[in-house]
Amino acid sequence: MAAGTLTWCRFKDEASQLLRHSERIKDGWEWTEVEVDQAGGSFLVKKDVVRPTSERVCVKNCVPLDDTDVLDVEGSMEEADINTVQCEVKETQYYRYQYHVLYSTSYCVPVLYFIASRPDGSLASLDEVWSSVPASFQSRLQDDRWTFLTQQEHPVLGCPMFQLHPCHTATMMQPLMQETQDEEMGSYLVSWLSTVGPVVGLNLPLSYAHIGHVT
Amino acid sequence: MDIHCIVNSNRYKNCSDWRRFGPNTMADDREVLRELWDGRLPIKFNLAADEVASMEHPEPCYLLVPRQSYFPLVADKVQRYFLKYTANSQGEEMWLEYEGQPLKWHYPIGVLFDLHASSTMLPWSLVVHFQKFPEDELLHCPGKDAVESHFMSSVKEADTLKHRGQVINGMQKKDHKQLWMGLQNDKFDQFWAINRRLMEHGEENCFKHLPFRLYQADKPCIQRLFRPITEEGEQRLLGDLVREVAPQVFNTEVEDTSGSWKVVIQGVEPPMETPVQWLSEHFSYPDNFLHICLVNSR
Repeated sequence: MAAGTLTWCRFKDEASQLLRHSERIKDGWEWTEVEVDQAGGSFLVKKDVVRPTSERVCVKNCVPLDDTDVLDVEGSMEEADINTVQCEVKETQYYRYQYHVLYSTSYCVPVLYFIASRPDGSLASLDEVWSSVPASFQSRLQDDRWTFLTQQEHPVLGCPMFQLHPCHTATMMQPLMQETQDEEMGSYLVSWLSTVGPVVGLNLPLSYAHIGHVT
Repeated sequence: MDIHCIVNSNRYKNCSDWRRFGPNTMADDREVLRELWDGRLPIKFNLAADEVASMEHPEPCYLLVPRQSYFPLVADKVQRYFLKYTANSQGEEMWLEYEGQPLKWHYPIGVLFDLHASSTMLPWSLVVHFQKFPEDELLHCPGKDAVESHFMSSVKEADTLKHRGQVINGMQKKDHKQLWMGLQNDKFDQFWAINRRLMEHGEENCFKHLPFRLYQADKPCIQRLFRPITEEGEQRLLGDLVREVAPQVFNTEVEDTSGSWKVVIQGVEPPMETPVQWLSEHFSYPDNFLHICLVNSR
């Protein structure tokens, strides 16, 4: 096995460790089997993660509160323009995320896929997803925009999803895995997911840090 | 019948004994590469009838497009031409449909044709839409950057399978650019000057794994790890691959599929005895994947 990669067997083992812990703390990870016995044919899913996304600024007509006269219904239509003021209101939108963790047989690493839906159920665009990437990551990723986060076909389900591109994962994981290689085998999956997940709003509770350690 | 098919189908019929030939050198079969690169499809584009907002229905428009290319790279003209006949003021994204099937822009045009329309009359007749983008089926294409990104990530993945990514990662950024520009501008020499390095194989005379994707209509495509030689060092053949990945093709006991499958690559039905290593080197699309279409010929 090349440095920084993991096998399908280890992926499955670590996924079941993760699922056992998730069951205990009830944070909603599930295992989806589509092509049983096929490397990469099953994957981890976490649904219904609601997170505030883009603060949308909308302009609203407001009635000045101290001027009670304008609340008079009669004739207020004509006067509306004069008696209301336009104010900018910041509206936080809540998007519903769904995350899939798959295994790439080409790169021998886990890959994070996700979709985000708007409050009305329609799918969020790539720009909207980018706008909710925390600012600290944004500036660093700007140059690699097209090699980091793109829309791709889900390899098992065939539907469009966003993907964090796997081609740098092994390089990133190499030093992390070297440190934990010997006595305490840390969980590759947890180390990786807690590193890349926060970029797109997926945060693992700290208690996951213990699950990889052999006791 | 696909023009390309007529040109090429006879050439490969009588080469059943390739297992003995061993690895061909690239130069011998350069003509095959050129022939496939030059494959073109005549396409007729019609604006969806319910999206016409002008008094007159626009005339269809025709293009001869490279099989190796992608629709967003060739359909600028189509978009400009039809846009004035629609009520599309929002600048909604254009998408294409063939007989009710939305077409995935991120597949090479030749793959889309082989998969959905290989028995159709030419020109291939497509419907152009500017409304109701089917976002649960199609990826958005925000521009040519998206096509480039998709293309390059396929090339990278293919090289990861073939050479653990060592060739593509050893190249300079300008080489990557040259691959992309070669494809975008339809320049065979420019493209192959770089691509030949991605097709080299080491002492084993074959790639580590074979970058392939196998398609069937209405199903997600299949991609598996597949080694181009057996443990005894013998070349594995197209038939071996199909038998492993899509056994239904050979399963004549199942009623609805009895002997009715065609295996189409680049518009051609290569013999099942063709070594997959040779196919990978010569029949791959520019993204370095061998795109294999299973077509039900009933």
